[in-house]
Amino acid sequence: MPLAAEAKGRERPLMVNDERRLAREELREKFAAFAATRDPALRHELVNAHIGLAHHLARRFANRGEPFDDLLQVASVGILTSVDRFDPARGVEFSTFATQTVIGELKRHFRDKGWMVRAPRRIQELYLELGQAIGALSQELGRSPTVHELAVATGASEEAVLEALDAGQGYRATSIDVTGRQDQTLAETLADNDTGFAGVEDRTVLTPALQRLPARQQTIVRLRFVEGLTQSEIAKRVGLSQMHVSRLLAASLAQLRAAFEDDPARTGRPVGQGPEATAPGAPEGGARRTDRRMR
Amino acid sequence: MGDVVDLAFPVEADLVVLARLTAAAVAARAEFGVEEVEDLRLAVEELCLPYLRRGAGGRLHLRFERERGAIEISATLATAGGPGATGSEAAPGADSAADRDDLDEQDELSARILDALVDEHGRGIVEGQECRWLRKRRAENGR
Repeated sequence: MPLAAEAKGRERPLMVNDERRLAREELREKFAAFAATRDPALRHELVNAHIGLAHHLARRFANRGEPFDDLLQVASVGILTSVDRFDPARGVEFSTFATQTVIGELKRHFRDKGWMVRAPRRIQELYLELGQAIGALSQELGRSPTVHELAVATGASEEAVLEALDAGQGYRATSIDVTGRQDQTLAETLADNDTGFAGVEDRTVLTPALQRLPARQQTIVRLRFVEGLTQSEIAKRVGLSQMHVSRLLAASLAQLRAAFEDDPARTGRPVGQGPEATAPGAPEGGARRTDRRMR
Repeated sequence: MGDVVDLAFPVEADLVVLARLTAAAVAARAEFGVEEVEDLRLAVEELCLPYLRRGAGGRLHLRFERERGAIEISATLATAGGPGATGSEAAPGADSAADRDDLDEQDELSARILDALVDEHGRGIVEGQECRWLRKRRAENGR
């Protein structure tokens, strides 16, 4: 856990006050020089001098379903942007300016991933995973699994599990007001939701829909939801970029959802006449429309 | 129509989740937008971090107050040493100047992060206890 690590460990070399003041003076001069010359070597040096800040800030956003490396990359780009945009003449400390910029970039990253908006996609994915994990663990253990056991099984944090469990009650954006259910534990309510007949029906609808996906998308969905790999791990496994995997996953989920919504048992419409009932080998362009819908 | 929620827990990293969840619940009740809720969750963590870094021990008391579209969260430490022992002084881990320097630097980063997340924040002494606080207003557009 990053918090624990931070509370206990001091990873960076320590500087005494005088040294730090000196270093700050020196940096200030370098920023002034860079503002005047735009010298690439100086830019490089300034970015490197603040990369520790990127680490610290990325760590603050860790444990929310995004790989730390991705966050670090976003934060590092934020430092780069900050160095380019920083105006030393405005009398603001660079660290203040950069922190604002990097946090903005990190928040945008999560927003673009659909995490901070209504019915966050990550939560939806986790909720689907939890459905499977709850079923499997209930059978295995002969009782409802604990939040901790679910966290271990899905590789998510306990907080994320709690949030996804709650979001699953109706895809509410805000999560922890569990009113009117005092007589039941959260896990009981959820086990009910997922092991009921609706779940069986959903799986019956989804299995044929899954088989209609292009082979590569089937593989990715299986790796994500059956084997529980992260997007980065899948990317390595199938030889695509993590971004590409993310897009394909989004497209696949959208297609599955469309097939699900078009199921005659739910809508009275015959299968295959829905707007997104995609045939095997269909282009992946459907993702654009669905991406928008999911945000 | 102010709401007040009090939360107290041992100063342990694993328990900060309670602060985040409570902040989210209070902010949701106050009809904050999801991004603002997320900001508040991050912010309350920053509020707790200085106490964790110092391995302060004792119990952290968080008060969440809602008043007219704003939420104020304040943190005070109740140490085993009784009132008067503050988070920064009662710091068994910080015995060298370099350690203190490092802690100051970490606090500085927390302050910069709070700048980015909330409208106001600060620290002071309340009834002999060090208190760190923050305040975030709900965005009014579209409401």
